[in-house]
Amino acid sequence: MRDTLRIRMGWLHEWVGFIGGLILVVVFTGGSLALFDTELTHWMQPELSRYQPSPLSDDALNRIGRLAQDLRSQGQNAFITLPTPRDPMLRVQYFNGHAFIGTVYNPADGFPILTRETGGGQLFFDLHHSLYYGPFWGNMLTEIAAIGLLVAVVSGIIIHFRSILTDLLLFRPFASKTRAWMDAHILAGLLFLPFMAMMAYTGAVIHAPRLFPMFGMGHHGRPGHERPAHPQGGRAPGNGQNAPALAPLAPMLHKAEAVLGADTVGLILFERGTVSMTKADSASFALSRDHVTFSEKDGSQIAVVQIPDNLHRIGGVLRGLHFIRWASLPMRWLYFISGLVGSIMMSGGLILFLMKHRPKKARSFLFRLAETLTIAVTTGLPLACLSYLWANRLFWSDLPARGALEIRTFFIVWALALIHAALRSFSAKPRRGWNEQCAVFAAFALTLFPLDLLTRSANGFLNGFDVYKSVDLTVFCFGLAALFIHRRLVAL
Amino acid sequence: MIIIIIATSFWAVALFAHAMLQPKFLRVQGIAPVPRLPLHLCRIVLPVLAAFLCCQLDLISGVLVWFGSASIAGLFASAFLTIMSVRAMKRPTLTNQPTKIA
Repeated sequence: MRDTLRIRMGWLHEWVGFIGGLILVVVFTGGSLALFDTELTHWMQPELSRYQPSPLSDDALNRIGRLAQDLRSQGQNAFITLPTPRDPMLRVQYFNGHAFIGTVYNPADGFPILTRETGGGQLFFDLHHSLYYGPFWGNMLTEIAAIGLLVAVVSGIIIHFRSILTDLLLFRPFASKTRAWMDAHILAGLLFLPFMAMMAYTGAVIHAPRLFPMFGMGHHGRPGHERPAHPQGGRAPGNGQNAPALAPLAPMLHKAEAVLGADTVGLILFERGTVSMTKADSASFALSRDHVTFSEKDGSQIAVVQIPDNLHRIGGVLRGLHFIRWASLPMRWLYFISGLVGSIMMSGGLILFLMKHRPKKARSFLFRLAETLTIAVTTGLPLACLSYLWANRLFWSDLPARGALEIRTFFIVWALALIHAALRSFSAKPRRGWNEQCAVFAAFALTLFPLDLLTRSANGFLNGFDVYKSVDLTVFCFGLAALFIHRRLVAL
Repeated sequence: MIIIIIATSFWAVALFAHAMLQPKFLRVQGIAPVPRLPLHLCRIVLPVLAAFLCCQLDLISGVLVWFGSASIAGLFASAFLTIMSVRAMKRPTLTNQPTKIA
């Protein structure tokens, strides 16, 4: 009876794992990179390397408030993000349908800093929660994949229940290839089971309303997530040409900090004649979006909006656990490593699926299609991510719509990787597909550091370990890993 | 940061002790059974010590660090055990075959 259950669970794990895994590898890779979205955006705006963090001045804030008001009167749904330790710049941003983009200002004097236009690390965030496929179908797909992950986790536990504790650390690289891959898959799956179950559950719950017909347009509380009718500067509803003069923002900020706590306000949003001083996501564990609203006209306080009840507080806790914007750097690295191991574990599962079916179905069209898709998500996606960073530095900084071009480069390289994978999978030597993509990834990853040095001001290069060197070094390590895999594949 | 490193070290030793208590691991390593009491103690006490350390952080961070450090420690312990078993495989073993005497 139990064996029958295990066999049935094996079938479920295999098919749900493969079909869901193709999406989940993208989701986990994107999510892992999105943990450092602010840092990646910083890396992708190398002009900021010349600026030292400075405290926000009242004059700068009032000045930026007027600029934001001008933009709103021109129809842009603009809002302000205040400096934080992770991003010590003042920004006026708007949502373009996929990412928050805008202009960077010096928090000391409020003067603009000429930076290149880029989607930055937010591409990975979009890829993570909607596969860059929009807030409805994209979210729906990732939501279904998250439920698939929960099914795969439960069925995997049932399959290996007898030996979970005894074989917890078992890895036999010297055994047969299938055994070694299976060991690695089970090892990563068991060790990171709490992380994966938690991420799958919180991710599924956060977007749960999408699965039901009464889903709303709200987008987990992020500002301005309603798609504007004209994303590139179309008129925002309710904003006329004759918008009233904005009262100075600095006094409002001080009043809001008296209510919400010092250094807790992170966003300034504008809506229907009001200004909302909104709590930063990094200010507390539970993502609450508490805010104090003021009259846009005279700066008088209108209301204090805080989490209304325990139900909303639980939602905030789940979001806090999933997004961890409150966390310190070591904690974020823990999540990053866990996410990457999750991605590797799922890639291992996809490879195991191919290994199992190769002896009987190697020549069938569906098998070759499955191998093509597996190569495209396991090696093609990292290659596309790397091309995004390269494109950021190689496109000249004043190129019109360069942010969109960077994203287009990402998808073109991914599509090329898919075509290459198809050519190799449908040929006699499919292993060359993996091998060649690993080699290209290693070559570009190992040379990202020189590219970074050549394309940004090297002033203060030896002063410390900044975000630029961290990104370069991390990508360098990935390059070494890809080179190692490439050498192993050549040796086989 | 230091709490994460120490908690990871505790977990790594505890998981290594857990592996050494499994007959399958000893077979793979090709080593004789080792005294079980110290291994049992390590397996039980060190995760508790790691939990105590993690409690020095706030509750949520402590729980996340405790689980996260266990996962990463498992990778280290598994890597160490794998290196040990690969070395054990390369080690010359005694056979009952006659050898040529010069």
